[in-house]
Amino acid sequence: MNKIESWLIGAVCWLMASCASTPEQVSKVNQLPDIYPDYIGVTIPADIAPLNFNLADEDIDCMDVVARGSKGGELHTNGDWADFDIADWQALTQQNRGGKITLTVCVEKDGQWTQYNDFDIFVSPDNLDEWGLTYRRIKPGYEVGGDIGIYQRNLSNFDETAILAETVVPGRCFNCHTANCTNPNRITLQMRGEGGGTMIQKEGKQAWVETKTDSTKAAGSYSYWHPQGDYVAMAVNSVHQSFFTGIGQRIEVYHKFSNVEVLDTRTNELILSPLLQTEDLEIFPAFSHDGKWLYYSTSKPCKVPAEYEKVKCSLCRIGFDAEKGQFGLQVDTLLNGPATDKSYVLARPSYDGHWLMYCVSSRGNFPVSQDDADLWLMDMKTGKIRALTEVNSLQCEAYHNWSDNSRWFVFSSKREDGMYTKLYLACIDEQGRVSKPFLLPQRNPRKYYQEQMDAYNVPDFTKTKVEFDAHEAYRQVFDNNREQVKIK
Amino acid sequence: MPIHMKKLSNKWRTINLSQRGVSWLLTLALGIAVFLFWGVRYPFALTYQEQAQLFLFDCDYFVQRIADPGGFAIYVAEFLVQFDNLVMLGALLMAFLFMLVQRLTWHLMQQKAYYALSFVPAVMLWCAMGDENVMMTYAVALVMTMGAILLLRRCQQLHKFVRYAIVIVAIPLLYWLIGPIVVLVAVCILPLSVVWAVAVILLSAHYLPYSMLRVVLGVGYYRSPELMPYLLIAIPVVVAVLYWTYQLINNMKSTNVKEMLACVVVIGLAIVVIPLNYNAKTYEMMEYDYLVRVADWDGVIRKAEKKMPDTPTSVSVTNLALAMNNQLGDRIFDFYQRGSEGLLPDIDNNYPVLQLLGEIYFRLGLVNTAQRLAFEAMEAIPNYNKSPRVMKRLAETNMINGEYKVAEKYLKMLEKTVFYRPWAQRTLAMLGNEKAINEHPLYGTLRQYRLQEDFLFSDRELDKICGHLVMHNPDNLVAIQYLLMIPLLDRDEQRFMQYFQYVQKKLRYNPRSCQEAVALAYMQQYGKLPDGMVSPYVAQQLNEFGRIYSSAGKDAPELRAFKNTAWYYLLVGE
Repeated sequence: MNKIESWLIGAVCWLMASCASTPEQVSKVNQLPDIYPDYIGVTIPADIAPLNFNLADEDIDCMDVVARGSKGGELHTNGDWADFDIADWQALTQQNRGGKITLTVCVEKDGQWTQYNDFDIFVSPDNLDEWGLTYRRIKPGYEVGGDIGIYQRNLSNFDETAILAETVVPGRCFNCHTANCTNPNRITLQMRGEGGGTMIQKEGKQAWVETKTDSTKAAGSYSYWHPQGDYVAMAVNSVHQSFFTGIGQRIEVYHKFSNVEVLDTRTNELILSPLLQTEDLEIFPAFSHDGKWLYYSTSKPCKVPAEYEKVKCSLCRIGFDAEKGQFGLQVDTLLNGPATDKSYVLARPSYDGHWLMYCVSSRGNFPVSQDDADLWLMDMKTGKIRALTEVNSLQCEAYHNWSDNSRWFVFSSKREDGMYTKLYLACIDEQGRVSKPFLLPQRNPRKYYQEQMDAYNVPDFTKTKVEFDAHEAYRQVFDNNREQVKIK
Repeated sequence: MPIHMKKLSNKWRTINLSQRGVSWLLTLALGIAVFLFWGVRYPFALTYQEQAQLFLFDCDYFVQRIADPGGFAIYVAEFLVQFDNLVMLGALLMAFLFMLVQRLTWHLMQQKAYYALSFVPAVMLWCAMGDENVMMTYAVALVMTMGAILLLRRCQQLHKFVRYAIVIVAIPLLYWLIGPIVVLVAVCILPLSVVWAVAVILLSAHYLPYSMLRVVLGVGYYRSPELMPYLLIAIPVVVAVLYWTYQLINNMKSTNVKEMLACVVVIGLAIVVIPLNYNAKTYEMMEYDYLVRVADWDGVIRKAEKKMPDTPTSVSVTNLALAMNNQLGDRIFDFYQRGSEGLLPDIDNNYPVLQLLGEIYFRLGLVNTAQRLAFEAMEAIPNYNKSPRVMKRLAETNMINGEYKVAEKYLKMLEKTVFYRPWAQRTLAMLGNEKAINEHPLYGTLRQYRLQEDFLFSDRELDKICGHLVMHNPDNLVAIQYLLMIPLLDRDEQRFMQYFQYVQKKLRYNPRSCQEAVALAYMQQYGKLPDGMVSPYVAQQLNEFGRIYSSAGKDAPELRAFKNTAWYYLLVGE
């Protein structure tokens, strides 16, 4: 949603504020309100947009909500849904940081007011300290690219703007952009097909390069920045998809080959290692917080799609010397996929070096297409692993990323309907305790999510608003002038 | 000259086409012609347009639309196009719009002489709309533009500074309402202000999430972004020329004969030029698409009988219709065939083709594949509009699969439309009601047809997938017909016999084409016909065919009498 739309919607909402009756002769029921999204008992950062919610029952006449802070402050809203004022909400959450907000919900239906049991929303002592989120929105279609776009969402309100939409570069398919540790001063994205290439933006200046060489099989994708900001790790692969005909599953995404490489963005040279250019499929690289390790997943080659069930990824790491621009000579296997009959993919180390979050599924190297994909956590200090049962569901969880202070993480989940991925945020404390996740807030969540025809993928936090000249990208894409990278 | 002829001649001379009554009659004639054109000749063109947009009665939808330059015109056009669901109403609205274009042109020409010239933009628009990607938005924006010019022309008497001020304010405002066609307003009202209009457009392009070219050409005038037929650029140019030369036109000595001549020329040109802009193949595809949409299988067959289907789409639709009527095995060779692609064409990134292909898989019982193609079809609409037809299919496939939460999402959207609301409400009430769904004649049947076992779809093994469908549910007659006809159309007799024998174990299904193929296979292998599998008529025909074929060869003209047989397809071909 662009700014113009936000203003217009705001104006229309204000004009159309409908119900405004106050609770009278209220009867109490001993149950929690059935609200959408389920924000009961969630933990939020103080600097988040209001957690507006609807009653699950769509046939109510009016809703009256009072929010009281444990450390003071009170907020009241009354209408078709709980629609809090942004400034008032944030004043309340800031005042109650480390405390909780208790919400009293009264609902009018058929002229009768009902009050439900109060519920709490906990305000974490840790701020998010991020401007917002970036993500790609894409239809859960399959082969036709369609109206995809990379968007950014201000997390302190409901504003969403396009970083790069398909409408600017018609007919082009692009991967999600990747920032360096949530800092948008350095971003990269890949564009596929005609006029494709890899875009590297440093301090606002775009450079478009061709990362496919005679020695590498394809252009780079699934990128991850080295914390120093000079190197980008990429997977070089060929992604495909097949579709199930039965009643259980929908889609299987697989790669015919995949290797990992690192691009030195200062010299446009690719750094290769024979350990990462094997017949196996090395995929989803990610640097450790100090840049000394490169995590990735690897699986034995299978005859895909026929042998799709045999794809089991192990989680590995290899040393990286940023001074010399060299890989180490040894690979450590952290989690062995074939041995445990699981697939470990999408390693994401926290930026404080404490945790490693990854996806576990029964097979495959593309977790968002695996219904049983769950998030797991490894304590990097002790090596202990555990499933994040606090945030997992029966549906797929994937595409997780950390906030810069490593206290919050965002992930996508299909828990609501099994098809449309939505974004959830959760916090983690020093001991690794994880809170109940909350759905990305929207002004009118039910309407927004019901009418949202896009799935969210590859979310990441962003420290500041991403400045990206989409028209310059258009010129670069259609000029098709790419600097060819070389092998170091 | 006889007296009565003289009187008639004098009467003609006294008829002035630019006179109020006569001119209105001509306008009405235009309206009737447009109405008949779309209401009777090309009704499916209207439904084609209607299915490629989803107009919602919803504030957010309005806001989304007017957030783009020209968004108000888009909104109004989409509001109008939704009525194409009722073809006659859609045609009536179309006629009204064309009449408006013509009358407004006449007003811009100061309504004095050469009435026929005021029809030129309308005729050009009529031609332009032969391109199915020209959006109604363009026509609406054109009408709004001409209306705005007439309104602003009233300010000509004001002090020039006031006039400038009005133009400076009006141009950005109008640009936001009607799009870059606002340049026409600038050209007509104050030519110098064209600079201002262009500046506003370029400035907006810098901030909008569209490419510069798309903003300049208009976000909603043409379905494919960054494209614009020359005719759409020529229409405003002609309007501007008529506007600026009206004095010249009015000063030209107008006689009734000249008026009449101009009228004849314009009508003649229209009659010649308009059909040239309506591509027969495209509109044939639209008609097939419509017939499939309403499941009028008899209609498809009737159409195919009138004109032999010869495009991949028309062939596959005809085969589907035959299968739905359980006639594929009997009549497949009555129509032109082009291999098994004529049964299940390759997946293409083209919106109508994807939709038709999805329909075939849906009817076969491959619900997941139909759903996948519905997604693809939706995304293949070049301007990324949503399609109510596709959304219906998404709701249906999810409901059949028991994915009620997802189905509800689509149904709630359709509930906000005028024409799909009743269906959406009925279907919403069905969600979660297993008994109602299982007993539904279509959804219940497709539930039974669905494969229970998950395996990956492969378009290189479509016959095997049909085989799975038949093994899973031998009542799936559509799958049985496709299973048998795929190898036959691939001229793979061995595979055909394998499938045929399998099918015979499940049920007695031995239509004409199968008998022919079986008879041929037996004759080739054993030199005799199989017992009880071939009717006497087929046997006699095969003897006759064999006699000609062996004596005169495959090029014998007499063999053409057997064009609708499997033998001809397998041994002679086209």
